[in-house]
Amino acid sequence: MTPERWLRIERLFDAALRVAPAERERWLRRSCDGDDGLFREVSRLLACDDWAEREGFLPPPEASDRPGDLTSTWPPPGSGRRSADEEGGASPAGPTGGFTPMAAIRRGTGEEPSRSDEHQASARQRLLAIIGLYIGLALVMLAWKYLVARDPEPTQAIPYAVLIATCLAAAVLIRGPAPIPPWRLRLLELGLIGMVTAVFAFSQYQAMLHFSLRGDPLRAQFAMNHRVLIAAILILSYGLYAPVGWRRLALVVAPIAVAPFATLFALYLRHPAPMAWLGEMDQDHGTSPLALISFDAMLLLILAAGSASGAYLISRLRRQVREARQVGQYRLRRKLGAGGMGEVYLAEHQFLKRPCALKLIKPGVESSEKALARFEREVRLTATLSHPNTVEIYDYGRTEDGVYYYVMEYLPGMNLAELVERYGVLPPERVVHLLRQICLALREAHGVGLVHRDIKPSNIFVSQRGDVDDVAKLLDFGLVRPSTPAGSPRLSEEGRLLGTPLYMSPEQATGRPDLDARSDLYSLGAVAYHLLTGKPPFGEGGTIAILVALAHDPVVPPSRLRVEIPEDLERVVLKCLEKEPDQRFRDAESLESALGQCRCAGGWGPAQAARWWRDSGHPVGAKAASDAPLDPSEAPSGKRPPAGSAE
Amino acid sequence: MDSSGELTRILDRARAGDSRARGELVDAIYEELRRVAAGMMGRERADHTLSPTAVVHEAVIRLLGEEVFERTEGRGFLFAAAARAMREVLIDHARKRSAARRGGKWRRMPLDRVVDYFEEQGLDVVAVHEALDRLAELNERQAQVMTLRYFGGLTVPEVAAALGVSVVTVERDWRLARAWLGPQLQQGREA
Repeated sequence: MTPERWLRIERLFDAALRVAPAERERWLRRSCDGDDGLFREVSRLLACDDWAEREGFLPPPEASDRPGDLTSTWPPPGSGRRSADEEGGASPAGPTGGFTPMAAIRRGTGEEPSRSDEHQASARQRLLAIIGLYIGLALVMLAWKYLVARDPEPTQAIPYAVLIATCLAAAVLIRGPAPIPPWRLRLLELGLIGMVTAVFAFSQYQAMLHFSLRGDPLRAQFAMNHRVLIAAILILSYGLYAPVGWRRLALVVAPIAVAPFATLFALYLRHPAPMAWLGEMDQDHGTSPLALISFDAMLLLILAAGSASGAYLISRLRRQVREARQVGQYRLRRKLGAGGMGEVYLAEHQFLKRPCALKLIKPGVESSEKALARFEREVRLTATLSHPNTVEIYDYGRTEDGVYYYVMEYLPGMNLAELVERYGVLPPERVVHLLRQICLALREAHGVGLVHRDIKPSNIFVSQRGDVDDVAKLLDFGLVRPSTPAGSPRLSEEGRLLGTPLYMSPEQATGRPDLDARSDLYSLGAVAYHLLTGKPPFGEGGTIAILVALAHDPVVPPSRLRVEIPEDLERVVLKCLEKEPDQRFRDAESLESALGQCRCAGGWGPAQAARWWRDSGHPVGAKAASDAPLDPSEAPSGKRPPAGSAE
Repeated sequence: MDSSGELTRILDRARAGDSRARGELVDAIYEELRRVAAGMMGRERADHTLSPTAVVHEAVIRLLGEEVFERTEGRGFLFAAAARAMREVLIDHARKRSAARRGGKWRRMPLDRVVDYFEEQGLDVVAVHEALDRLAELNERQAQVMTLRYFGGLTVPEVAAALGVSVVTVERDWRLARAWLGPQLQQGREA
């Protein structure tokens, strides 16, 4: 095969992956245009991809434990070594762990609150509890036989010893670090129960035979009764510890219940002579064997039923607990991410069924009054803003057990930090398009006296809302403070520097108390710089070095890093990045109009945005592609311009 | 050592189209990687958890020095060579290890993690190595992506940064290469 042909295969493979699986073959055949060899080759690769996906072929090697750092670029331009965030990992939150959980709102990549893991853990725990019970039972039996009853056959200890050894081995296996597949756990569980039943049946057989041979039918009867009691314990414990469906429970419990009688029956058949006392009971003692045995059987039946209903009850409670991952009227779906003090879940309103992002603050995580106050303030302040480019707050509340939460719109898409990390630097016209939207959101916030204070790429989300692509949303007003001069500016109540220093304004970095709206404009300029060049204006060295550089060093003009950045846009960005607030734009509105006057301003519109999302391979865009007609290169058109953008 | 100055010269020659320089580049990096790996082994045993990434990072950083890094055009080239050298080191290592294991004595070192990974997957490292060579003939960058990812222990964003391409490109390359490698390695799959 030649590299040229391989390139064709590569393109087709790539495009085919974005076509819905059902349509793939048809699409591929059409695209191959009669070239059967090509079709076969790509189909084979697609099948292999499918197989690799299913079988987990070549999974990502374990991420090695390297210390996190400020940025996620490697290799370093200068200093020592630096590392990336774990792949696909959390959004690049600042080293100080700023309050940025909303940055984690994104689609698809968030981890499930791993129900199966929890399930596994509890299955292991249950099994361990059962094993402990069995070992205890066997030990008590042995102790009783040798210390209290004092007359066993020495060989009677063997089955118990085997049982204890097996149980210990199983316990070691379960406690080991290696994950055990669920079916193997289940098998282990069934094997253990079968073994316990067999051991007790065997010892019942032995004991009853032993006493019968000694001509002691009374002790033999006792042995039978003990055996029934033990069966009762087994049945109950299984029902309690293994809350499975009633069918499986019945399958397990029935043999345990039947075993004592089956053993007795077997004993009677094999040794009719010594067991003759059973038949003679009627005459000698006035009790028929039927009466004796049927009572035991009844007892076990009642217990089995009780155990089954107990198991049912417990499994229902368990399910309820799981469903109690419900907060207020919202049902939590999966975890989207976690930040400094809260976790963000994809949630759904009970009745509206509208997907939304729910941010939880657990009392256990941060219970200080101040943290809660900050949380409440964030919600209230954000909720006062209604600009379409500000994230919308739907709801806010506190559950009975003191968990604060608030609910905001769920944004499919990604934040700007991820956008740059995944897709590289943005074309200037797109930067203008996105920033103008944020300017409008800021205008409203500044207008009511709010300074965001933590504008950074991970706090700006690019999303598809309605039919509109590339809607920018400003998130996380966690650090918002009324801009009236009050309170300490850069240290939070906990005395930490909040937020990442990479996008801080110089006045913020030096801790000047009189922050105003122009501090946000600086940060926005820094974001623009990052979008255009792939890195923040000052990113070298540690936190301290950055803070110092922010205050003193001149900015390297973006065009020095990337020549094609238009001169007029660069001027706007550099003006935002002026050290002196007075030399920046007066307000967000004038920044917006300056951006609008850039020559590239009209260059990115709905059509470009739509094409980008479709071609990006991002889940959101990919979905659109698979819904679209067969040919992925066909562009849908006729979209409205994004809300908030003037053109 | 002034390896970085010499390397710059080799690099310039390689870019100028000197095909022999390319081999020299691989050799130089190969030597350095081995030196770093050996140095790590000799150090305090507390270091024994060091990852292959650490080995590679350290080697590349020490080898390339700052001024080489500044020259962005040379970087992709260097990493291509480093990727290749890295694989050589590991294959060498794996071979020695299997020989030493038969002999019974083997001191674990960071690079063992990489070999372990493939063994856990039931794959023969040498077979992977050879398959990647074949892949390189079709598309060199795809082979580099796989090498940096699996032999170098770099994460996807790191691979992207190293090769100077976007993360998406790395992901696409990875996916295609994985699909392609599947049947290639199936016959070599032991368990």
